[in-house]
Amino acid sequence: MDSPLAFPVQLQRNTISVLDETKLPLEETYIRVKTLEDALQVLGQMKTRAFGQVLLFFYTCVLTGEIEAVAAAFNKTRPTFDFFSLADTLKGAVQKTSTLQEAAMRIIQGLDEKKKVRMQRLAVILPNDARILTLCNVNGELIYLSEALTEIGKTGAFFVSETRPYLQGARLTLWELRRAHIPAQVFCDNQAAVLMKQGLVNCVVTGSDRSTERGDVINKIGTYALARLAHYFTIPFYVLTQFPQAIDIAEVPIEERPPKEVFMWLEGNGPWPEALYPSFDVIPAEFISGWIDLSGEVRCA
Amino acid sequence: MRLSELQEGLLLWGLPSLQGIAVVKEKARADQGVYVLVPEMRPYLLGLTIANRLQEEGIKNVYATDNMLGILFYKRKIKEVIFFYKELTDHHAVGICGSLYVCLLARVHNVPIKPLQGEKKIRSALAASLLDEYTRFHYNDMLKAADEAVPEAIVQ
Repeated sequence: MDSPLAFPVQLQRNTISVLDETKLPLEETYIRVKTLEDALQVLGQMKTRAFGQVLLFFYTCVLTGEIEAVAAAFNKTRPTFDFFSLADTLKGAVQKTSTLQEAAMRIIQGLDEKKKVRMQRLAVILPNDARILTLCNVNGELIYLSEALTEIGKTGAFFVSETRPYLQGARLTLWELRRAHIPAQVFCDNQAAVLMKQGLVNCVVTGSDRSTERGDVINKIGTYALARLAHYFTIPFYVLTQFPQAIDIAEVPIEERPPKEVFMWLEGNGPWPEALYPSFDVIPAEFISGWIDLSGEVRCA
Repeated sequence: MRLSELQEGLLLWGLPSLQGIAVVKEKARADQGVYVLVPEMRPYLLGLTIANRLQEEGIKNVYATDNMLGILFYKRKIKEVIFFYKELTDHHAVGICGSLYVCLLARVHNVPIKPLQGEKKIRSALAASLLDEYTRFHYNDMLKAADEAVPEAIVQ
């Protein structure tokens, strides 16, 4: 069963339809995007993220007929994600097709196939009885992983970190896994150490927003702590990467969101205390056990 | 507040007693300008109550979700952890949910931990600030939150 989060953004004629992830799982509603400004608003408000923002980028390019300008505007809105690499990929694909739309569609279909392949590769290296700790949301890929595990006679269950403050784990990942009847349990972010110590989990799998050829990774806040704890308990920590780059991770700007968003999933009107909201972590390569790239390459430390 | 504005601070974990608040206040006064970092402390959001309490006492503090502690240790924004445990047992300090997470992160980053007796009964901030409708609805689906025993060797 595919997750609605596998393709949360779609192009229908001259309108982009964006699944509003901030409303999930209570409401499955879509936002209509017709201009670059609409797209930037949706992006800035985190109505979509991860693979959704990749799709939004490609479709906005199709809609506006621009690539560079869209990449620059998207990058300004969400500086940690690398939209310029996507722009290069799209420009390369345009050379081989007749229209921008055809180029974008080919890339998107190719990406989905690659995701399935990389999950088949990951399934091979996970334990027979995989008890997988994960956080945030990787847009339906855990369902591909579960299917791949079953195909080779392994079992898989997921322990999902709730991923404060946006609760992507509790709201999105738990929802899509349960919807597909895959065993899943949500836990407070701070319970990860106890889960590892008690042997309830035997591997960690996370996505990544950006990665380097050296193996350093940028991902959702909370990932670094999981990597350090997994390293301490000698639990393998696997990262799904795409397009690793020859860059110094220290030079990538880390997005900090408005502090008021820390409290947006809490009821009540405050007043709230002063808060921090760095929204991404940097994870040095030495705390990562394996990288599974979109090319299908599996690299283990 | 942005991360770059934050100097090295004290990280508070657990529910402080009255004496504990006095210790934090004294430390903050002795180290002028130091911030007290108050994590959220899920699932009961104890951090909200504590942050308000510190504010009333005139102690500068800043709030963060529990999963932000990793980057705060990594970027050397924490000089000491004040760990308010609930009780001491045989070679362990027993604290609220998440105590092992925090103490281990401090340990692997070589940040000292000061264990102090905290409140034994927690007062939840849930009445004031429940998580949103969906999370509350699924609260029973969550892994049961329990006290955690931190080995003496980690706390020392």
